[in-house]
Amino acid sequence: MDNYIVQTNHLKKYYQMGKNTIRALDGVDFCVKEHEFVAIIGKSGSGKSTLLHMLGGLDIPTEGEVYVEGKSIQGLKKDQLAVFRRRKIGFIFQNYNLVPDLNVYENVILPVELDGRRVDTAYVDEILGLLGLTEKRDALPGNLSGGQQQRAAIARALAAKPAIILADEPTGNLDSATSHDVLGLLKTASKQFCQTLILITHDRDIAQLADRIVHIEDGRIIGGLEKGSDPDA
Amino acid sequence: MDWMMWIVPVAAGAIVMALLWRNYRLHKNIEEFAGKVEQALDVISSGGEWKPEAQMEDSLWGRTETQLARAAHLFQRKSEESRRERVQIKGLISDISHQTRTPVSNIKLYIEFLGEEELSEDGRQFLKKLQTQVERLDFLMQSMVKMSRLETGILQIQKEPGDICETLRRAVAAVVPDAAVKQIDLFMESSGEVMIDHDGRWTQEAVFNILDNAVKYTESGGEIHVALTRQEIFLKISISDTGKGIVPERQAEIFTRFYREPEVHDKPGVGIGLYLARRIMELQKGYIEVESEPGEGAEFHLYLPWRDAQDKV
Amino acid sequence: MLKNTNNAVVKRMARHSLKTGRRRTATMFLAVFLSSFMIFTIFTVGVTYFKMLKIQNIRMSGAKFDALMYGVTDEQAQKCENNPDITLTGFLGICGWIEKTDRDDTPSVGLGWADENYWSKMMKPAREKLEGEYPVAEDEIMVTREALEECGYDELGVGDSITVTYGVYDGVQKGTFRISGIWDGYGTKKMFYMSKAFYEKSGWKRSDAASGRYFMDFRQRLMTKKTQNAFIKSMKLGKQQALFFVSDLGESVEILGGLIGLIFVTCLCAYLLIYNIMYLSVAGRVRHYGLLQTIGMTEWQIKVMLKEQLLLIGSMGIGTGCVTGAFVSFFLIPVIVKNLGIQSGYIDGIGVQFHPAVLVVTVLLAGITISLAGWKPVRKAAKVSPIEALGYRPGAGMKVSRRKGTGIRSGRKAARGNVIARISWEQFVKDKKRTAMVLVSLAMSLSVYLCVVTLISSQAARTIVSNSMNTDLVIKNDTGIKEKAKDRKDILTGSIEKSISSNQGVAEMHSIVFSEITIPWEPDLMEKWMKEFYAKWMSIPYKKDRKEYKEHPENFGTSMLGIDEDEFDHLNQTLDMPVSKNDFLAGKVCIVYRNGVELADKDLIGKTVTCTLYRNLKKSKSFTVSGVTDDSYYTVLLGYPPTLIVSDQVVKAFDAKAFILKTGIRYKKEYDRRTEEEILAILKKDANTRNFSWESKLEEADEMRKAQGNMPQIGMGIVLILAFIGTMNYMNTFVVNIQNRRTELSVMESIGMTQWQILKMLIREGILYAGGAWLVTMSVGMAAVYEIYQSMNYCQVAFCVPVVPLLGAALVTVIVCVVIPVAAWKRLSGQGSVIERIRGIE
Repeated sequence: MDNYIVQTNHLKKYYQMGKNTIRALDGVDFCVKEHEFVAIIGKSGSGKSTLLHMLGGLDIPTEGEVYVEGKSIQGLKKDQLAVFRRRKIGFIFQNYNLVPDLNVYENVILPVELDGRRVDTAYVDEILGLLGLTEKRDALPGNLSGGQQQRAAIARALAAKPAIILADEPTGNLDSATSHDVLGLLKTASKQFCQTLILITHDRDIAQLADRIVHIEDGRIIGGLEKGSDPDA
Repeated sequence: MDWMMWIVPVAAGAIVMALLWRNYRLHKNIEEFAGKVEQALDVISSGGEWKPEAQMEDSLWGRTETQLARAAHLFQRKSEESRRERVQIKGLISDISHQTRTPVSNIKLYIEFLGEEELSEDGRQFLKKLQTQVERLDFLMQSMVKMSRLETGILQIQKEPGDICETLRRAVAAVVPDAAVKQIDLFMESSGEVMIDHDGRWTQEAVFNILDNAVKYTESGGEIHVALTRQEIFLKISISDTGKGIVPERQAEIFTRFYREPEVHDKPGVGIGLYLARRIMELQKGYIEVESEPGEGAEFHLYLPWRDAQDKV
Repeated sequence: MLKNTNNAVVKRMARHSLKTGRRRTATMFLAVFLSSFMIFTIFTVGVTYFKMLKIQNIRMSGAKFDALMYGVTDEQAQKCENNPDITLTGFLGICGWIEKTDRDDTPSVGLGWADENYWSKMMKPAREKLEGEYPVAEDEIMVTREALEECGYDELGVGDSITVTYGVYDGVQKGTFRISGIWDGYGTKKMFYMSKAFYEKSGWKRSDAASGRYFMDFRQRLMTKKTQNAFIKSMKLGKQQALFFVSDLGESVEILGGLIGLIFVTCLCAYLLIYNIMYLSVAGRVRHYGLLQTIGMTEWQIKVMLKEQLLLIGSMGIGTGCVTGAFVSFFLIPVIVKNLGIQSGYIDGIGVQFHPAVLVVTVLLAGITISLAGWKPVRKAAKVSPIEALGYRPGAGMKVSRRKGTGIRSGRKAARGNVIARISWEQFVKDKKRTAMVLVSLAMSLSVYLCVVTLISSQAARTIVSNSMNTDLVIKNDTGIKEKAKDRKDILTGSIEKSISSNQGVAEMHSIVFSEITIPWEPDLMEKWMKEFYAKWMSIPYKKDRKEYKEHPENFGTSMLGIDEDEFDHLNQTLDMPVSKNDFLAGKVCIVYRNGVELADKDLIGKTVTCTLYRNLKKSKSFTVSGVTDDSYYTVLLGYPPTLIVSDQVVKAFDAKAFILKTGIRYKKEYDRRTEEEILAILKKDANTRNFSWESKLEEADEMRKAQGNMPQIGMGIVLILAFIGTMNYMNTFVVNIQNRRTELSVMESIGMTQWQILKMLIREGILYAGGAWLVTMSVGMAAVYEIYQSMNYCQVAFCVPVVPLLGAALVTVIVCVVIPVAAWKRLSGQGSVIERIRGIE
């Protein structure tokens, strides 16, 4: 149990839409080891994004619990969740979600600064170099291509040295060549900086890069490996 | 206007009070913060894992604690990793030693066979040299096996009550042949039976190594003395020789692995004898030290505790 | 627990977003700037005004006090001393006059005794120089240089003696006094201040209204008329006693009320604008705040970020506002303060009073306004949930229901009106709260405009105390009030009357005919009248004169006035009990001028009064008193017996020598300058020109306007500032509104809506706002203006709103309301093609 950095316990999320109940998650037991790279695949609406949001403390489950580093995050207040995210989680979104007023460098160091930490300049420079953004560090997100923006988002997720990186279709808006580049970088970087990477995609090719693939459908995990079995890398 | 006369000093007083209070609180908080940092560092430096409690709090401590925990976690992982690596390397060495034992024995056997054959003068010369080299190789392999066993904890030191003089006598007996060859006189001041908790086999090995060294670095006609001294906490075993001594700069180095005096590279040995001796003493909660002046000979002191401090606890 | 020092980046982001959102920042800055400017200036004006007023009052009356009582009984004095609201009481006893000196026969110098409190505490702030001591001995006096000059002894100094003939209660005496001190400053200077011993010997008493001056200083700085009256009542004044409050205590309440009202309106306008901007800005950036939360910004940090913005804008705005206010005050305040009634002469030039409390109050008020306005938007931003921002949840509850709501309404409305009108209306009512805020903001400035315009236009009418007939010009025969009958001449003769009435500009003319009469004693009405009259006006009891009045009524003359039919109709209207017109014209009844005597209508009406000609006691005539008036227009020479008002024909029949005393003239057009000039020309050409005097409404209005000075301009300045804030609010709402509807509008364009149709829709919305704002103004605003108007309507002038300025304002409003949305759309539609704009939302 101690080996799992992320673990969910029969996680459920139901929405009420008029008279229908939508089961976004319907009893998910899911665990990830430290430094593992897990890909979650599934069709749109299968609940994979919901799962990712739950792991990052963005959404509250109807039932069940999420444990990060052995501790449940369910009892945390909104502000505590925000602190939790900036210290433990790096998010990468499909549509980048960079702050438009800030340049690349400012965007990247924002989570670190929000935490009041000293910015590890050498480390940030290393990340920017690794992601090929050194030239663009002073550019505003609006002036960047999609791939560059996504790389900036990855740099932001890495900069705070989080234990876990959650990526929600990070390549959804990119063409396939760029997608592979970005994903390769993400994988190398997370390995280099000892981070656990959980990635959502609907692209099996991309999922192949992962240590393990989890298949989710209609709010349930149907493929991949369940809790208890050994998800060997 | 008179209310202004009142308000101003009252407000100023209130501000001063508030500032003093703030200052006091700040001091207290800093004190508290430093205390927590120290506590965490204590846990981390003694090798434990720090379980953060405030990492979801947006406070200075929460932030620092998270960083400390991360660093501690990394340290622990790194040290675990390097320990694993060491074990692997030692295993490898021990494997090699084991694997080479049979070929070396075979080589020895064949050299013996060869010695019974008719050989030219040169051939005999070469055979003799070959024999020396094989002996040396064998010795080296055996030392490495010992070392790796000791270090990886495959062999455990087992302290049992026993007569230390007996142990010393066995060790001295082992060097007598070499000493006799170099015409070195061995003296041992033994005072009957001295009972102490120690591992007889390994202690003998440690003493032997030091004696062996003494023989090696003492010129012909020299002397080696072994003596026992009872001290308050430790039993001191002193081994002194009349060799060329050790310059002070090298006195710490001689106990490291594979260290050899530069002047004796041509002599047989691999430089792990003293290292082993130190390890053995350390594992028995004792220690070893050397006193020497160049040209005046060297005196090694081996200390064994009368009582195991940790057992008592 | 040590706080995490992680707000530096948050504050930097706040500054950053102020820089990026320049329009928003500038608008908010202007709102704060203008409001703090207004608050600062208004308060500074207030403080300066009150300070000046206080100095002026002290100097005018020569002492610092809030109320003055004529005559005081020991009981009243005791009561005042025990009253905790009264901090200080002082007494000045008038005890005689200087009859003559050797060097001057007609010195006008009084004698008085000031008690310790009055002399050393109350008079002190008005005194500038003092030499010597206050008199103690009976033959010592405290003098001023002016009083000595009046006596012809200006060379005397302290220690010198002066011999004068002086009058006291019992008669004239001669005496020599040693000058114990000389003072200089403001106040009653032609007076010798005597010792207490002198006063006690003079024969006057503290309770005599003619002698005792009792001064009271109140703890309160402000007192309403109501509390003043309550206090006066509590003093239970005797008939001759009177109690006056100095004007600042009462008037200042009104002025203070006005200033506070103005500040309130300003703060409200600023509040509405800041709230609206912040709210719109937060509502438009929900995604942004959610995103910041996903990367770990806490609610608290979001709050800090927004508060930092408010703090920066606030401190800059308030700072510059106060500095500008201080600067402008130098030019503005002397003008305003003068117009509020401070006269130069007592004040050596109006220095602007910068009170530190004003700064504190300005910062506090503006700060409170900003924090109140920011409170809700900041909370809203902090409450955004990150998941909402990611927008993945299908249909957030609120939006669905709202859309459903409008759907039903639009379905209902679809039957009537076209699509464009419907969309406009829906936009208008969609966010009712925001619409209401903009409407209130606009209506506020319009209402203030309405108020200023109405008050300025009616200023003359409301405040000029003209004669009761509201005539434009009253010509008086000055000879009519001469004491001796032989000096009186009939100069308003028929020829003058004719030439005036023949003037084209003159609508009507009403003359008052005068005859001097006397009313002999009789036991009923006259006995009662004279008793009350003496009690009210005379310092000697009626008893003393009763005998003389009975025997020589010719020494007690009074007047009979004749008015024409029209004037009678007018006067009759103002009476509580109307008089029969036929009886009046027939000379059976008369109307009596009450002259302040304490007799009720019912004490007089129904009684018979018989008068005789002054010069011929034989000729007499009797009337029944049927009405009582308090209008002092109907007086000439005030005798002891009552003035009788009868029909002019009756006067002429009774006294052949009766003549026209004064003539009221009304022009066809009010304030007709030309007609007035022509009439005055006639009078000036006349031989008796020097004996005419006149009261012209036009002249008074001119003077009023002059006195008002720049007041209207300043009023319009305030209106402009408020209008500016209101317009900014409207503009901001609309620009954001159109930005938010960019996709919607562009989609409409893409499915075939023409530019003109879109513009029509926007114009319609603009007009809805303009109309709404005017609706609020004309209802709520008008009611408020009416209340203010009536509270300042001293002359009961009918409430009347000037139409032309109002129409002008309406036009401007409509133009502004239409131009802004159109301009906003024009700018937007210039940004790329239709399809780019549709996509532009993401």
